[in-house]
Amino acid sequence: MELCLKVILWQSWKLCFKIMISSVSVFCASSQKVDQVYFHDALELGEILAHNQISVLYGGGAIGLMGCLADTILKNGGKITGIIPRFMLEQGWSHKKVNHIVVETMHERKKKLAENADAIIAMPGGVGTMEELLEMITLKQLGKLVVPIVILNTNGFFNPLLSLFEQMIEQHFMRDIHRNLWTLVNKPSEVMNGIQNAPEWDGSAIKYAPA
Amino acid sequence: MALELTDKNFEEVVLKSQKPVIVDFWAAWCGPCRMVGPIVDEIGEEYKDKAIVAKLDVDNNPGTTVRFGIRNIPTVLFFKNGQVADKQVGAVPKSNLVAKLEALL
Repeated sequence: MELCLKVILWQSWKLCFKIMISSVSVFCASSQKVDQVYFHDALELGEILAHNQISVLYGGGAIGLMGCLADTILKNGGKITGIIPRFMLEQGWSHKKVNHIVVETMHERKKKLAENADAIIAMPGGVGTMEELLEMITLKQLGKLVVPIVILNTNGFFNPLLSLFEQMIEQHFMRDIHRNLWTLVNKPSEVMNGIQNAPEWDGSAIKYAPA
Repeated sequence: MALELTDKNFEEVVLKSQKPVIVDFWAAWCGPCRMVGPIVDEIGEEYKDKAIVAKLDVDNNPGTTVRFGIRNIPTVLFFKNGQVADKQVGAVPKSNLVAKLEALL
């Protein structure tokens, strides 16, 4: 009886814990020249995050998908904070209506984005976005990060990367279980579900790290 | 130690000061601010006769934070005769802050 109660409490605690996502970090493009299909999803994602009252951390940029996301969140009364290196601020790249924490290096920025979020969302982007996403997946593979990592696969943008991941698994560079490191969604409206339904992960993942 | 400023005492302590004033805008959740804080305290000790060195928590004092358009923290503002004379954003080495203060003495 007591055990049964404990199990129920534990399950409901886990449920509460999963639902209580209060902050996310979003990685996405800073390019202004990308197709409208990407801007459309950045806008929709911004609306969803604002309406769910989720505090958003991002790279602090004013243009591209970053700028679109920030504009949308501010317009919808949401909360967003930029983590931006000082050299970018000095280039005038920061979003002028967003509050920023000013760091010194790219590494410091990525560390803050990783450590202060209950989930990570990656949208299409260039090499900066890719290296951020890959570092998060790597940290999770090693059990150093346990939060959901949701890849928003707008326009099938990430398909080549996912093929590469599959090749890594097929050729034993990674294990099957490592497919659980990320959660793939195709539309912004699936992002919240993707976060909620991400497979459980914890520090013991280090056991599986070697392929 | 640096003086703790609030929206209430800002006018009196900073804007009416005869000496140059350094104000460190910070927040508890801002990592880089924790690097600047101790440096500002040291400068406060070293320049206690020549300048006023103070800090303001942006979360508890939105009036002053908005008035000076502080969006990026850490930011250190340098005041002389009630006016902003210089500014430093980010966690920089102590020497940068000291050089800006020296220029106002």
